[in-house]
Amino acid sequence: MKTYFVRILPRAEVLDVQGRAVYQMLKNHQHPVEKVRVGKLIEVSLNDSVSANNQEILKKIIQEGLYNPLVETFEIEGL
Amino acid sequence: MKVGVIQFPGTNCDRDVFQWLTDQDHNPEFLWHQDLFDIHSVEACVVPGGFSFGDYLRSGALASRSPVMKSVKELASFGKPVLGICNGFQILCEAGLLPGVLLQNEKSLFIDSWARLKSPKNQKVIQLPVAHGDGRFWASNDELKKIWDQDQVLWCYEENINGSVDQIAGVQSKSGNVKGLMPHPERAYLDWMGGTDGWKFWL
Repeated sequence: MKTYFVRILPRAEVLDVQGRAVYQMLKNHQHPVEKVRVGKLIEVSLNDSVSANNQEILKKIIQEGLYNPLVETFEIEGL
Repeated sequence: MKVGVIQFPGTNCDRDVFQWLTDQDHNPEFLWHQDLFDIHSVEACVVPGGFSFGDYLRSGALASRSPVMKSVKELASFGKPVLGICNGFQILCEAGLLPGVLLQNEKSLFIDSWARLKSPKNQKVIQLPVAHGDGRFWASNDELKKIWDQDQVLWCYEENINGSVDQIAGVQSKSGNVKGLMPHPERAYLDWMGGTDGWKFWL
């Protein structure tokens, strides 16, 4: 079994309401923050049997719905 | 008219929609999310509101990839009417049947109130209840232009309650048979409900 992390973030041009709220809270606590964005991290473990083309499999999984390309970007960690 | 009403785990407006259709002399029938259905068995279908799959991943994301949606897409491809209300609208956008996406409200608050809506086509104004946390319609500038150019905007909020781009509350497919909106026509069609603009709203 091999484990990967899919990191999903809202696109820069889309208003990130959660990121803005967290940013405001950090500012209120006088932290020197410039910007905060809130996304999600999805842990995906694949069977060993298919390790040869894990990258394609992961991309297929992600493109079938783990992220919405209209408003999000993704990166895969662990490849 | 025989109308399918789709049920997902977490759908909670299904019975209201069923009653709304019944009272308008239609013949509704519930359709379960795990089943495909014969597209000739219904003449139209509604994807009702709620919190399908607990809004996990993104609102409507998991529901839009359920087996029943294959049949809904097939039904839509035959030009039959499909209506998505609230979470149903989010599901139809996620399924690619409608353009754009619904994001968290600009002020992060769940909105439960009445909203005045205006039709950009004929300037008609109606009032319907809204109840949503993720109702901010968004599309890229290119897509937005296309939506307007192709007469796909159905309703705009008079007052922008959730930060939707161009105050859009509801859109339709290019072909016009698939429609979606955040407000709830099924919650306002008899006098005692506080408004009747949901009567004969669709079909």
